[in-house]
Amino acid sequence: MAKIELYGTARCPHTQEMREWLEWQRREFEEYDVEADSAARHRMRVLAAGQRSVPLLVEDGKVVQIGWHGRSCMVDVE
Amino acid sequence: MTMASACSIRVRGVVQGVGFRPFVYRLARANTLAGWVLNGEGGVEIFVEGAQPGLQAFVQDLKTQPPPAASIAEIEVHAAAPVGLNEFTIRESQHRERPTVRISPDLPVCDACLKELFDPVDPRYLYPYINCTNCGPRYTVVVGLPYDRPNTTMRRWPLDEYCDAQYRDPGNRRFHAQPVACPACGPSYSLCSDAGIVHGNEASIRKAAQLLNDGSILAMKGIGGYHLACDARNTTSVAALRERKYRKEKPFALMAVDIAVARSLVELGAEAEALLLSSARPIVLALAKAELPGVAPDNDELGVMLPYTPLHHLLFAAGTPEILVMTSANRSSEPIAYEDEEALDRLSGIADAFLIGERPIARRVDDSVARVGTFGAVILRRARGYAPGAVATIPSERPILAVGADLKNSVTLVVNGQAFVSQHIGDLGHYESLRAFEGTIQDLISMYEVRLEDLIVVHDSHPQYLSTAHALTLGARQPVAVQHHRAHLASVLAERGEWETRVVGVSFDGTGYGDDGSIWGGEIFVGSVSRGFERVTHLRSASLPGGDAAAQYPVQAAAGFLAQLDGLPNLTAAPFNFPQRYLNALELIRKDVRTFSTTSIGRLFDAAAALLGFTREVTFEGQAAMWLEQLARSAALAEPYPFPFASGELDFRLLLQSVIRDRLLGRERGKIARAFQRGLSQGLRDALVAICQMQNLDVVVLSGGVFQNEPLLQDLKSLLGPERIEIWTNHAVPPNDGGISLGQAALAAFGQFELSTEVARSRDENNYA
Repeated sequence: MAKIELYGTARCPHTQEMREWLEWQRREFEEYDVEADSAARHRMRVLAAGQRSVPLLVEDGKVVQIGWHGRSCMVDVE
Repeated sequence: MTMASACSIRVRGVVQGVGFRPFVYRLARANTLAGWVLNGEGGVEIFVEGAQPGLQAFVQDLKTQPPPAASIAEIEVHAAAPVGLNEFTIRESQHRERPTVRISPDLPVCDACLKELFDPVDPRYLYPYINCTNCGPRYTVVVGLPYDRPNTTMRRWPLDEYCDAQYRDPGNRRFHAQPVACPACGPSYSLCSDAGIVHGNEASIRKAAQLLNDGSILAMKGIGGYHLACDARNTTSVAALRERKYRKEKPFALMAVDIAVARSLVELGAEAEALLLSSARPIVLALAKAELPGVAPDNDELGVMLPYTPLHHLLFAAGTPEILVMTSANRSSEPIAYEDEEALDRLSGIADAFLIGERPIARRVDDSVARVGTFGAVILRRARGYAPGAVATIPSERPILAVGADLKNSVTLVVNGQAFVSQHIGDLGHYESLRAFEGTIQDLISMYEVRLEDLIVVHDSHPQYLSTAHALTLGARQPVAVQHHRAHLASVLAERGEWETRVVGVSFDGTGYGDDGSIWGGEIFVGSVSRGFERVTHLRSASLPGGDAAAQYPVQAAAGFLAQLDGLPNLTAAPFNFPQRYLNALELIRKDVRTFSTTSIGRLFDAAAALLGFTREVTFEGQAAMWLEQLARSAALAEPYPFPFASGELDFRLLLQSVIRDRLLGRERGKIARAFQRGLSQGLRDALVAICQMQNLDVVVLSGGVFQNEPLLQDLKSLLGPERIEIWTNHAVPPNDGGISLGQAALAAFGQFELSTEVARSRDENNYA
């Protein structure tokens, strides 16, 4: 099974939708709130070459999806 | 170590399908509690065990920090015996529902794309279809779900190597950006006119800008349809556009090159600027500062929007005049044209040239219209940038389709408790709108994968509405009807998720089918969404010769109201000068032919407008009332005319008598209009204070098209404020009939409807016109 990570924020509705989708698919995943967690934020910036759009879905260290059906939120923090 | 304790908790309200269980899960983990959460029959059930402080914090946070979409009606907490669990889990619910994929509204071009658009070394330099994951078309290119390139109207343009590399690069802004394209592989624009075709993005846009500068009228393909554009400062062009479009007086929308120019056109507060710059980029109505002859005749407001597609920016950069008239490309009151052949066909004779883009439009979506009013921002036409977003969470196990009303139609689909409101569809009396209405219903049902047999279909009680007829052909097991004015009120409460709260509801508009088959429009109710609304009072009934057709002729509506007044002067003489139509209407009333009973405030406004000089035919819905509003705005606060709330009704007789008296005395018309309007507010205030006291209520809901009238809202705010009565109005859906579908869905969810079969019976017994 691939290791799945979800990078998002608490206030982002699209992160929520992606989370619900993963849950419905019964996939195991780790979720990081990049506004609350600076280490996760840093990892996300490296993974996505500095992009600030969430949600970001990572499978085995590879970004597989950014945004949810054409919508995303911009993370404000530096 | 603290002794472990446990509790079982049941949460009721809108807590399913809103990310509530994951929230509970995280909360439990944060407080080092073990247990489980599941979606039960009557809500979310939770069992938690652990240290007492953790349990307390858990319950506290559950109550105070639920997810934004959740709406907790009740939390029951019972002490329980710990069972020794050592982890917290989300237990499988019996009916695990697939989450609803939401279709995104269209987004305006983002700053990063704009920068590339004007960067000469960028491969997408001056490319009108530039977009990325953060911006561009969505709803208007989606033809199916999931949102993936093959399910968009971009599917016929395979990506070239350059775009494909970006599409696959997680570090790129265009990673999985479905509508991505570049000049080498994507669609392009060309310009057609009698002089021939100009191919190529750059050349065609440059030529278009030149034509606009020369005063030509240009049809251009945008995101959700064609626009007709011309130089707003060129009076000849504006007049030509009106003439060719058969649009006599209805205001035209403007597009300003930037916010600074917008500021020079209209009065903009901080909230209005935020609205103008918001991602929906709506047309914002605001008080005019600039004089632009022919753009909005007899109106002291202008509707302004900012550029939202790359094409708009390119046109302005190519030297287009900095203020354009930008109106939906159609003949008067038809829906916006969105297919190329249709546009060429319908607009030949209107446009001098066509700027045609190759990307097909999946569905027609007009520009949205909004305003910052007395009670904050309100959407008056909900379309591009907002549709088909969810506006409310309505607790319903079954999906609901609400088909709205026949004018300013929109439809609402409730799936998994989320209420998705369609774009503004328009007046179903037009064949094209009716087709768009049917198409939108099919679209939403198929995209959200709703099965017809599961669907509760709701329509207006009006037995002769086209929307009603269509609802009954859908083959749903359970079509139901909701009364028009109750739906207006429910739309406000649905926006706020207030299901149980009892309110006094004022539903004022032009027309709607009443419980008794007469034409309602001046109704006051008491009740709630969950228990329904009971009509407690209304405008005194008047005759309406010609039925709903009287809406077109203020003097015809006036005839019915004035028939109840004693000692009328000769209204065909000065200063009234009523035309022959008035006498014909009186004749209809006398013979009781095609004469109906009405309590419509809209028609009362028409009657007053007629007395004040608006004796011609209206050329768009609500025109006479808007004219009266403008007139009233021009005058200072006057002694209000009496509009007594007596014998259980709002009596208009003294109100109209006063108008006639002051008109005969030669009083200034603006002052009369203001005294009329203030009288109406004062009378309504008296009625509301009395009803609130009697029913022990302190919230008043205002909805219906009449409450687009800002001076009326201001009056009510200042009159009801001191009475400690709170006022709730629409914000996310329009107070006009564009909000009806949301209200229908909410009332249907709570079982507040009539079965369609009962409505059909009343149709047979009633010869309503």
